Amino acid sequence: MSSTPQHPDSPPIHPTGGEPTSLWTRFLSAAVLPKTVSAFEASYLARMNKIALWFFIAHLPVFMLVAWANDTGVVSVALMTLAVLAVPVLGCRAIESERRKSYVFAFTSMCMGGVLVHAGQGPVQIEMHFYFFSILAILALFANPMTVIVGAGTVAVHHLALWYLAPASIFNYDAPLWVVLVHAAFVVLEAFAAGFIARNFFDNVIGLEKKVEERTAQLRERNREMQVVLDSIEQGIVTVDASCQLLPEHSSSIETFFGEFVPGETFADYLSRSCVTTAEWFSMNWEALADGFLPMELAIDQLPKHARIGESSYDFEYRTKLDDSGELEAVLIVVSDKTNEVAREHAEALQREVLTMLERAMKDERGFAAFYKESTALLAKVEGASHESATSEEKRALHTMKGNAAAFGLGSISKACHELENAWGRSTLLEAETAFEALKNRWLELGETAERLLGDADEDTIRVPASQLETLLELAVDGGSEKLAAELAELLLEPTSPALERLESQALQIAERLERSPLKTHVESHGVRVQRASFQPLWSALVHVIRNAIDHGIEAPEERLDADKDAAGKISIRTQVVDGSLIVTVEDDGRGIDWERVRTKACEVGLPNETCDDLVNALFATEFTTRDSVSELSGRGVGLAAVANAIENLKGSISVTSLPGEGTRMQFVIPLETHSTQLVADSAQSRQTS
Amino acid sequence: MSKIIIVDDSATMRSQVRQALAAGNFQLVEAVDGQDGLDKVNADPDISVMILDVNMPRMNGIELAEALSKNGRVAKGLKIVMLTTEGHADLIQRAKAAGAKGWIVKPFKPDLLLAAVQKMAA
Repeated sequence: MSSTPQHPDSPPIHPTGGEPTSLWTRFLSAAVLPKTVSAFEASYLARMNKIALWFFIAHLPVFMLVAWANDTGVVSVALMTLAVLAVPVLGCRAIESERRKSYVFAFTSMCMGGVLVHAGQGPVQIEMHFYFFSILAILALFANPMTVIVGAGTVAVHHLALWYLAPASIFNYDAPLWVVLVHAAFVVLEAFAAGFIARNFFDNVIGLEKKVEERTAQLRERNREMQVVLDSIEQGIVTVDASCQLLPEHSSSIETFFGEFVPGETFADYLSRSCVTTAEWFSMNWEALADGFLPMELAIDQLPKHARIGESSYDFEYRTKLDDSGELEAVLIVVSDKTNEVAREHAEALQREVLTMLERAMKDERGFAAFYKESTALLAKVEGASHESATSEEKRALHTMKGNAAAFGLGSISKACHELENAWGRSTLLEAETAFEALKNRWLELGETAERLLGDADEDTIRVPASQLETLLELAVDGGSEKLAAELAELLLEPTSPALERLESQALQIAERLERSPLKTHVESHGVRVQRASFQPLWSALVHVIRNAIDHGIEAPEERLDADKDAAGKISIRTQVVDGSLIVTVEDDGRGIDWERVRTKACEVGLPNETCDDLVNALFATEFTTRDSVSELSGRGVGLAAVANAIENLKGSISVTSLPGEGTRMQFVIPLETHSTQLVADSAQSRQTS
Repeated sequence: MSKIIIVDDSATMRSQVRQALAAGNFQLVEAVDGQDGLDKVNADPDISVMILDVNMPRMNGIELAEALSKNGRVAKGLKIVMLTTEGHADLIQRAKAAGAKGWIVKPFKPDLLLAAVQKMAA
């Protein structure tokens, strides 16, 4: 065995000389064209064959003239020419392939040369041989080396045969064999050149169409592979041009997300078929991108990043493609389905809220039970209302539910309420229904846990400490029925302090959200006890007063310092009994009510605005707001109306004192006799936080 | 040096905008609500860009933009950009009608806010 090291990349060594084989193979591959004939080649050859036929027909009179001039017999030459012409005429009928027809013409051409040399016998007979060389060159026009070879072969056989059989037909002297071989050598030489040219003509001109076809097929294949890739991608991928029109390439997922894809449509229109609001936001920010007022990066950054369609959530990403001058050329939009992720986050949020609920319920079981019962009732009240039909009562109910939910730490509920309010405000019936469904579902999800948590402990359940029960039992045994009745009646009353404390913790939460922290709070219940059921709506509604005080009243810390105030705002909430009436006071030390603005707004909406009482009434009127836009916290003009409603049901009255820069005091006076409120006067209970 | 006014009732937001613009070579003025903004812009013809909140006491952002369009200040080259939250297409339409040219969505990215103001001040 040979131990010669061989480089792995070097070509394998053949045992016998591969050179001649490879030269022959190369010759063959150059001489023989690929089998398939393109439509272009076929039509080109058909034209050439037709021209060739007429060309050879035209030989007849010329050859007869040559025969006459050289006195070689006009009739016999004419007959010979006609005989040669019969070959292509018959051949073209019998043969289908245009390539094969051209071989027939190559054969014919050389036979014609033979006739010419025969007709030209005499002093110019040798010159007549130029015909062979001219025609051999012309055969290259068929773009096929084989045509040239057929011609060369024909002339070789013709010369050898006639030199032997009828030498006078080709030579005007007694030419030896080597002269024939010299002629043959020139033919071979020319045949090579003509064949080479024919092949190049084929490769670069006639066969070009085929090459283009091949390339096109390759591209198509690559596109198909690309489409396979695009179709297997989970993300929706589309490209839009600078005018936001969809380009044809896209992944099939996008159609699963947003429906049938129509190239040329704008992305905003495409999106609007499934999500109008996102499409609106998209097209508005795309306009900003187009008008160029904002930097491109900012405008791109402000295109919508999320969309919700029914139960599904999508994220959007944008990649820009700029042209050489830095102008936007195209934007690639990648849409990812985040439904599962969002569902998981939703489940986690639910979990967190359940914990919050648990915490609240443990701390204030009655309060929580009341909240749960009231909210369920409010939700039922709201059901079926829409943007056109929602009455002010329904709006108040929803607003109260929103406030309560926020106060009990159920952010998702208050958010869902806010969404529903928005949907009532501007959208279609369908959107209102969707928003309501979302709220209801969320409430039911939480409600399941809440009910388990509460068991039978609703707000009507009264827990009595064992020691008190013993006292009651003793009284019953002693027969002091009047005293017993008084003690039992006492059980139906509840102190106002838990309600006030609830309001206090709500105030602290709201302050944090509105960047008004730290906030000082002061709560004084004076040991007042009231009948639970009738006062519950008031406690719920009072959240709105607190919220207004913080949102509209308390200034930002910097502004307070500028006004020589303590940086922290202050809110007091008090209940006390004076002259047989319960007075609930909410007081802040903020900027005070801008009465002029209230007057202007009252005037705008057509409310009376002459006296101070008019302005207070306006403030508490339904849908009255001094705000021009709404936030999750305030601005709808529903909150204070809910308070007014609660006070009216308690047959109470409202008074407002507010001085610019010094703060606002709202007092709600409720006559006692109607509500069996009781004052435990001995020890005033008050608490203060900071 | 371009003079920029930030009109927002939230001190936190004003200071965030101020911080974002600190890297730019601007003279910054603050206003605590729409009315304050109007007074300050009317008193100072050098102010060329206004960053404007929508929701404010006394006079809101849209009213302020309208007032500045009406008194010719916008025509004289004051550029107004609104600060808004995502998704309020209706608010932006109103702001555009009132003369605001652009809007920036809160919470904003400081570098993008800076780029926007630099472009407007140029």
